[in-house]
Amino acid sequence: MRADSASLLRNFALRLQSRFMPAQKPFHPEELDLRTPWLAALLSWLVPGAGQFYQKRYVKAGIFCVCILGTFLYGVALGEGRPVYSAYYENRDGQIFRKRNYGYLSQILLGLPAMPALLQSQRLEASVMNGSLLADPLESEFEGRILPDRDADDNAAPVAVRGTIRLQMEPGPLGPEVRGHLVGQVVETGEAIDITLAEYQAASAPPVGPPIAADPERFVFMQVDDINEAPADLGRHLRGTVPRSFVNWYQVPLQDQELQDLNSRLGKRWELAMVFTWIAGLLNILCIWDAFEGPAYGIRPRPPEEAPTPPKMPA
Amino acid sequence: MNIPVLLYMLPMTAVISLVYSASRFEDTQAIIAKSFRLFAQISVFLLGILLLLYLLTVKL
Repeated sequence: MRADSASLLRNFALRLQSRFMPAQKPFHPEELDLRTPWLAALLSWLVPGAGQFYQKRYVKAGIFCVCILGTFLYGVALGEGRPVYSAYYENRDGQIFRKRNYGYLSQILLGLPAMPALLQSQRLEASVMNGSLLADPLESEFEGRILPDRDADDNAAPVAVRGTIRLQMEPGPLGPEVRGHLVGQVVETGEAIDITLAEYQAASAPPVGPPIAADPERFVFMQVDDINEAPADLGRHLRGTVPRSFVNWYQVPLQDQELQDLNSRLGKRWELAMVFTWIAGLLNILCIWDAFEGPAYGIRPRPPEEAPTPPKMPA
Repeated sequence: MNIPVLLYMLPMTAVISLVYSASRFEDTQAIIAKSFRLFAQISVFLLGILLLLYLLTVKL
């Protein structure tokens, strides 16, 4: 009786196994042409799957490319385009310290998609050394608010405005200063505005954000100098942003204030974004290894072709 | 869109399984079969850890 139960149980287990875990076909060692392995590995480092594509292993190239690049790009999107950076800058006791981002060591394993960070780090430092806020005149779409004066009526409220802003450096009484012009409309009422702008003479903040920074928006912080056309009781303080071009913010090193802002605003999403990009880089090690050595099981690389033996000369 | 953090585990596990299996085998069928199996193993392991941590939290 007991033997019957054991036999039944064994048969049941075998049926379950054959149903859900069918025996894999044994691999027949077949030849695989890895072409030039080091070149394939290099290509796979630069672009995930490119080495396999070069080796004409198209399915694997597709798997590596979609999975690894997809993970990386999803991480970048989760972190609003900013989780890939080679360094960040910490402001402590009035001094700026450059700190390495050790996570970048994992991200750079992805090759080309993470390389702009190195270039952007150099561009940022060159821009800071240059020190000019507006090397060229700026003309761009603007969105922001005009705030009332402090001594204005308590009922005065900020007015949302949008339009086209033009800013340029002009000689002033104390040296070059930023001046500009905003032409647009009040968002709520649609009334036209046309105002001239000037920078604050004793402001602690600059009138416009730096040309290169890890933020897709560049702030504008100016005062209304003259009103050509505007609704009555318009305030005197302009606050807003203009878009920064993609090449001037993508993978640019972060300031610690921006890091804190991202951490507080995105919370776990920011951490996840970093983890996704790190894991994508680490997964690319497997891809590079596969391009160099072939798969770990079941396939052996094609042996080098033997030189044909010369026919024996008859004695 | 606010996605529960735990749900990020699923695509990540799937990608890791697929890439790992692709680096082990050449045959597409074998890659897919192995990655399904690895996905299940990793998911069960992670859910086990999650359950253990949850039980510890409840006891404390």
